[in-house]
Amino acid sequence: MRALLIVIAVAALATAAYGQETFVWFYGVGTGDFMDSPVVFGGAMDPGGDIEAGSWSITVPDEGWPAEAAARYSHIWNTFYAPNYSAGNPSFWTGYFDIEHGATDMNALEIVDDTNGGMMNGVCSVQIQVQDLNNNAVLDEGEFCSGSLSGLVIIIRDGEGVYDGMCGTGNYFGSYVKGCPGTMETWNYGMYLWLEDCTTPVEDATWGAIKAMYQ
Amino acid sequence: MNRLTFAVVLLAFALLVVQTAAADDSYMVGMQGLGSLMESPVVYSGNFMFGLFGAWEITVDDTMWPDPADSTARFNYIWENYFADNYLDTYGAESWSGSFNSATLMSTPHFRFDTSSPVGVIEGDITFSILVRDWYADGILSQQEKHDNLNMSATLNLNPTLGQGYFANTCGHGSVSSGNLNFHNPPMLDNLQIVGQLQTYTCPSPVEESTWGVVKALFR
Repeated sequence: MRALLIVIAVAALATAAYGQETFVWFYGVGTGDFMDSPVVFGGAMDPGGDIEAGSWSITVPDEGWPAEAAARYSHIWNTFYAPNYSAGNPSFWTGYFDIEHGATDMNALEIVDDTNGGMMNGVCSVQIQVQDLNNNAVLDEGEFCSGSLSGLVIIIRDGEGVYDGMCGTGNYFGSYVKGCPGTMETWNYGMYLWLEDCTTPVEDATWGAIKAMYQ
Repeated sequence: MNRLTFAVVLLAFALLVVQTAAADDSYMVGMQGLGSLMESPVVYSGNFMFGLFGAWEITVDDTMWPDPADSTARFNYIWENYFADNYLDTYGAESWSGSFNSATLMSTPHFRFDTSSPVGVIEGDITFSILVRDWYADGILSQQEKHDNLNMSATLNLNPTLGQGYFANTCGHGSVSSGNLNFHNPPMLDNLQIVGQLQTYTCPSPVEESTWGVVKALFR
């Protein structure tokens, strides 16, 4: 009897987490500046995707970052970019803004969908590539004015409207252009999300207990 | 929407993501192919669906990784070295992530695009990350979580000396992503769809420091 209950419970939990997926994508364009506090990149959607009207924002946690401009710039570079230098032709730095690479928290993502009527929240990583065009391992003027970026996305189950009860994962890729010597950046990217109904509660303890029976 | 058909929708997306301000040419690319981190050598390859015509290949240096013959050992090695220590315990976003780059591998992952239109070759470095969702939020990797169409995102660094044909002496950069990576058990190749953007430009003439020093010395 216990085995039967376990099978039923596992099936229910699996169904809850791996239900029918909904694919949503949009094209985002906006601006932001790592030198501002709080660090908020945001903007609107461009036509072409499932979401054509609305807004998005990515907030990068800057707790502990210096306020003074020169110190702040150095902190950002030395913490997130400089340790990730890859030799090549050209060599390049990869800026990782995520917990794995020294951030205090993940970047907060908010998407407002005025096309379909809804809002979703989540977290995302931000990966920014800076090419060392003259291969001298020193960031020179002009080397950090444009490039490519990408990231991974998790949508948390606290959306509203058409996204009520949905959660999921996704990714994005795009490019950035800076107003050198200014630090304001313009981002263009495409984001793809796979969402599913997560309204059925998935209790950690229950699932952990089930798995523990087999360990 | 079925993952195998969503790329068709992306055709309408072509050119939207690319900013042309700093680029001579820009491409919105879609690729389809096969590959797996559980195979050795690790080679993802296939053909372009749009943006460019031809073949693509991404190789990952798996030196030190256990032989695929022992898939359990190989997966455990990958998991322990790339994912296990990178757990995000944010409520509702519990997950692992793994970074594959020059710091975590013996050499930087490599990409090569053999294009038939325009005719040429683009090669360079690819740095990517993979997300594994902990759907049960228990800090334990489950079988379903291993092969739940994992997301990957990457940045590309073009090597101009490896460019050929139309892309000879071409500099540039790009980024791509996919939602089709898996760690199947037993191991099998993933059927991947990758989309992204690429920006290329003719490399500026090289400025060699020693040469510049010599030039300056002439005026002293």
